[in-house]
Amino acid sequence: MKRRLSIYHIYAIPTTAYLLLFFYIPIITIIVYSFWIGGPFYEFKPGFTLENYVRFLTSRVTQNVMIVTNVVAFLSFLATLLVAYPIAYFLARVLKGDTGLRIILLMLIPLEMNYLIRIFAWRNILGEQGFINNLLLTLGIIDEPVRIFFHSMYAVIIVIVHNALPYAVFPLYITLRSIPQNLYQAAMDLGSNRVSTFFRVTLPLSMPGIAVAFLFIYVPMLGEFAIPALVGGKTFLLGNLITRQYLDVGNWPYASAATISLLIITLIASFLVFKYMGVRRLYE
Amino acid sequence: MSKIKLMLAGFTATVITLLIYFPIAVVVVFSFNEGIYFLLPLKGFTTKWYEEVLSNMEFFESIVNSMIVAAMTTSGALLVGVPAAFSFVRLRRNTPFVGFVLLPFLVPWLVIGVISLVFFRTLGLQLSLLTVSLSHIIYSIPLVILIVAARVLSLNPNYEKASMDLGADRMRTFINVTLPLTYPAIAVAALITFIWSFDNFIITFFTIGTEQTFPIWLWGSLRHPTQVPVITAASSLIIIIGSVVVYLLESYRIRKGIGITLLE
Repeated sequence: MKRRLSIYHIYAIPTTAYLLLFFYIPIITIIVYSFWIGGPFYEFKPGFTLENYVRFLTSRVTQNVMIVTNVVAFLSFLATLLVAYPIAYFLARVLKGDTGLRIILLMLIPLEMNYLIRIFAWRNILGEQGFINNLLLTLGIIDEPVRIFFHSMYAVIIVIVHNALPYAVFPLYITLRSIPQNLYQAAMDLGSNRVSTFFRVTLPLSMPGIAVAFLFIYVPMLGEFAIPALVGGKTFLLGNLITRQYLDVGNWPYASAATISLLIITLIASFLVFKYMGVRRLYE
Repeated sequence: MSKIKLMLAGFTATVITLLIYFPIAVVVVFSFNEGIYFLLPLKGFTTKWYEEVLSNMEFFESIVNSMIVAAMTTSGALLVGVPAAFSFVRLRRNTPFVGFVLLPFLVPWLVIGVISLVFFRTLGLQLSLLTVSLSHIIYSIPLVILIVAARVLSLNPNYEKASMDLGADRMRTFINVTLPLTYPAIAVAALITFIWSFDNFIITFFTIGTEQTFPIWLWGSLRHPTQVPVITAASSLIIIIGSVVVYLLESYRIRKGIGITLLE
């Protein structure tokens, strides 16, 4: 069906033009670069080769980076979810009125502030000379500083959980809130106990919230480079690899191939979440 | 039964205090501490770190630069994004447009940063605060659209019908009725974009030239251990001012019932 051109089509022009010029054309630009002949120190040449992709996908080093990145991203998502779910459940199904929303606001206030400040705070709490070690030493609980929480993957995960918590609590809150009370009564009437009601009613119905939390935590993690650089010690993620290749090594074709791979993973994840997890229904 | 509720309440309270507020409280407390490191016991009360920050020109310049970037980003994103919010709602069945607009919102910020860097450098543009804003607007457009569209979606269509019945044409109805009804959402979108742009580090890191914004200044200072007390004081200042602004903003949102868009 051919639609009449309305004023609303005209309103869409500036956004369309802007995103085409500054988002879609740049993406096409790096797609072009990703097929060029790579070389460090900006010595790359125009051409057509699959070498960059082959190197990115087959090198032992990048395979390791991809594995570690996905492990950290997944553990962060899981840890956040485990902390966020009981909180969202409490706010949505125990508290009445908009008290829950106000508590979410309370969680959001510190998080709308610069995340480098928060990473800095964690550095000073988890560090070898940090607050926790210091406290434990002063109290005589330990004899020498514990190192496990600093310069490690665990420190990265703790900081991510801190960062991501409200973004997981909020969508979970919305989905849990929208489950009608009748369903619980029906489940109970049909002889279901609390545990099975949770696993057969609450959990399946909150899947869209879990999916959105996944998008908010897992996907940004694939491009994160500041948190591992500041608290992660030797933790070297995909974001660090791309940053180093663009800015330090100066091998744009190779860096572009890595970025395009990241982009493709992101697109597939988002597509699956939108298509199968009922997110659209939630948004409407 | 109520035991479970009690446990959930306790868990929520513990997490909010220990995981979310405690780290920030530690920074604020230590900003008044005499010592350089975060060591217990506290060494004594001082405001000298604040004096040092307030006389630090780099800090001031970075704050001013961040404000310039945030102001350019906000005006650009509103100008381009607000009209599209109406298209977004009224052409709702037009899914390709929805996907086209939302994509920058879904990709990691790193991707926006590097594609902008490569694009600007390929064009031979000098990296500056302007290029930072141009790259921030990419992400801010969907942000503005989602907030404003949520409001447009909840508007009562009878207002527009009434206006048309009373003889106004489409254009006048839009300007005199529809648009004013969305002002609160536009204000919220503007503030959120401003705060986001002021604070953004990841995209800025790639598209900035020789100037420093506040996050870039922080990133640079974090590498120097002697700067710790100065960063602590600077952070505390931002924390205190930021909390007030964000609290006012969020209460306004709840009062007006705006912006509970899921994807925000």
